[in-house]
Amino acid sequence: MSETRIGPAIVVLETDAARLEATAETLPVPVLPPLHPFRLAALGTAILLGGLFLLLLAGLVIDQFARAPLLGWATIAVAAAGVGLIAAALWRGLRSLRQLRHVDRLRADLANPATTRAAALSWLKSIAASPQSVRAVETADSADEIRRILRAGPRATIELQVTALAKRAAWQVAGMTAAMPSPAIEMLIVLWRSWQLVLDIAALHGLRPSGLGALILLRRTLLSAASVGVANAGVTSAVTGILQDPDLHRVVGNGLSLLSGGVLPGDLPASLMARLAGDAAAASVAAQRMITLARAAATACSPVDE
Amino acid sequence: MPILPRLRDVDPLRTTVRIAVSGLARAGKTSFLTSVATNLLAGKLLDPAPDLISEAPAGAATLARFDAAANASAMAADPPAWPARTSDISLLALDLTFRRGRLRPDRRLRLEFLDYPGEWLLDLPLLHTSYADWSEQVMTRLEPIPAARDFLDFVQSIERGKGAEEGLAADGSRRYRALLRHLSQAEHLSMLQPGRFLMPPHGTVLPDGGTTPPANEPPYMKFFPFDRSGPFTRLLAERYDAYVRAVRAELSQPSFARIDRMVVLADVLAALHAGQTAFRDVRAALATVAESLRWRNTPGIIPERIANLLPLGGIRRVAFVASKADHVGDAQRHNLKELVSRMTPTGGQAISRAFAVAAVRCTEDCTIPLGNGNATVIVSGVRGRVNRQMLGFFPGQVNPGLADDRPWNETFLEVPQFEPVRFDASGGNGIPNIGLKELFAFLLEDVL
Repeated sequence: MSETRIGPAIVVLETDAARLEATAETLPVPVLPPLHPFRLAALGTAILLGGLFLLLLAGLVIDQFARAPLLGWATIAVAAAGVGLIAAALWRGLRSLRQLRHVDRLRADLANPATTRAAALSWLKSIAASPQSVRAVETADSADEIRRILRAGPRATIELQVTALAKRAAWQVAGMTAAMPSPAIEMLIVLWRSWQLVLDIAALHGLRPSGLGALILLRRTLLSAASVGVANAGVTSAVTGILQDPDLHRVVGNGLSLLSGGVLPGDLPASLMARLAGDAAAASVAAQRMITLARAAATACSPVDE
Repeated sequence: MPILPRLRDVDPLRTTVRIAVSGLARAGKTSFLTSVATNLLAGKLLDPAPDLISEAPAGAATLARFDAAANASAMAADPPAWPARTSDISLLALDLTFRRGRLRPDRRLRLEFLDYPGEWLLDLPLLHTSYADWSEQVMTRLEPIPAARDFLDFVQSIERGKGAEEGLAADGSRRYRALLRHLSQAEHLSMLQPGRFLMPPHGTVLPDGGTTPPANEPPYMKFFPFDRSGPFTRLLAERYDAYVRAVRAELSQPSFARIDRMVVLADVLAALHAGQTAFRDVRAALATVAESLRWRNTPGIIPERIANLLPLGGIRRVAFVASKADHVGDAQRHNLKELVSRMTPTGGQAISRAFAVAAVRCTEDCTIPLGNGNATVIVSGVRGRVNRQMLGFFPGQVNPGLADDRPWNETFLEVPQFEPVRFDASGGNGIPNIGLKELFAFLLEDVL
């Protein structure tokens, strides 16, 4: 039996046809991820502590009312003040957390060409950007152009302010590091100044981190610092290397003499120059770390990438 | 450049993957790159999808940037326009960021796509072929082609003992180039060497769109296949060797040396429909390319198994792609993929796989009534729009076999150039496609 082969063919199905439309994609049914066991345990502990604490307070109030109405009212007032302050702290923490989430959302919206303009305008409003920047974004032709405007304008302005803050912190830390006799105190000072710097930079970006939000911002900053820090490692080691080069100690010594207005002689003994140059190197590394931290904090707070 | 500013650009936490996209003539390389860029930016191709994606800054790069947005807008416009054929290499670079939980830093990946001319791919086998062997291979291939008769007659007319004459070499080279251009443009053949005779080396500007070589072309570019011995042959062989050295030097430049994955596109379906000569040509070209892409820069003293674990450079993964796979129905696509797989012998150090992909979808599956009256049969084909007409296209059964006993006597067709399916010009929803996600899962399997 011979098989009948059908050859290739082209047939006209319609003479004035509309363009084909893409067939709708089958969207996957979203499945909520199960809560992590650690989170479940933390939630249970919080409910137990919070719930039992409120129940104890209620029992105490009832007991006090049984003793004397005045005592009962006084207990209510004390409890309300205490619980109110705790609630206010929690509320502030949640609000700062929401601000950080808002940064994430803005970042995603800026990356999506369909929502770039709206997200850019929203961010410009939140940082009280110049009307020129707003107009430039409104009249931009493409999402890429909008991102370029944001980088060149508002982000660059904030960068300058971040750099100024970082330099100030770096000078302070460098000065304090050189002056401190104890490494433990030195470390505490650097930690405190770093924390202040992160809060200052968050404020520059329109964020007021506190409580939980502040802790999350610090974690993000440290994660950003992991990459920024590694990228800067070459610079840091170069700075350290230059300053620890024995041939350059003399230059550093002369520089220190000039900076001290002649209080320190230019021809200091080699051992003292080495000591001074070593301190300068340590201080410069500490300062470099503050600048790295500032860049990391700015990266964590800004919806616009560098 | 001072070292400190250069250090600032270094990002040790970012992985860079450079993928060369190449293809035989009319395989749809520019449309492929446009669709890849648009779909990646729309977050449609990768699994897991990146959290952030943007075009990488060009800096002071020496390679031109691929303009995907302009091509996508032209394809989305009404009436749509397919991108023009590219005549030089360009680069598309995208930065991807993947968030990795709370305790680990972000993972950053830079994907660089190098638009690598398919003609140059066919120069790779020359690196390991002598002038005499190459001449013999070319003459054998040209023998059955009627359009090559004039050139073959010219070669036959040259005396065996002819001296090294510059003018004669220039004449032969001009005739050979004209033949290559004719075979490429009029007969749609791909297995044409040397590739840089058709697509000049990077940075060369042609005065009139490519029909004449540039005035400052080096003398070694003036040779042609000549399968006899003598002083004239020695001149041609010296020039051939100089050409091969120049190709090798170009491949060692940073732009090309860092390629570690490759996509080779071929319009196999059009070749099947164009007839036996075209199909044999595509088959030979793909087999030659597949053979050349097996290499890696492995030092001879290191065993291959250990060398594969080291970052030695060279191409790690190769995807051979039958493009325009939406021109066959869903049921036939597997056969098309299987056919490409059989056309590209595997083995060696690089991992290779075959795919059937439509980077820009133009059709939808349908049933088509063929014949008339009682003889009408219903076949599964595709339909798409060409010049406001909706055409039903039945490409026939795609036979995955390579045997030359396929029925070459059946009707041959010019495959219609359908319009792309309508999509959002902003690219926010990507470009409808077939098989791109699967292709990228293979290409980036070891990176994501």
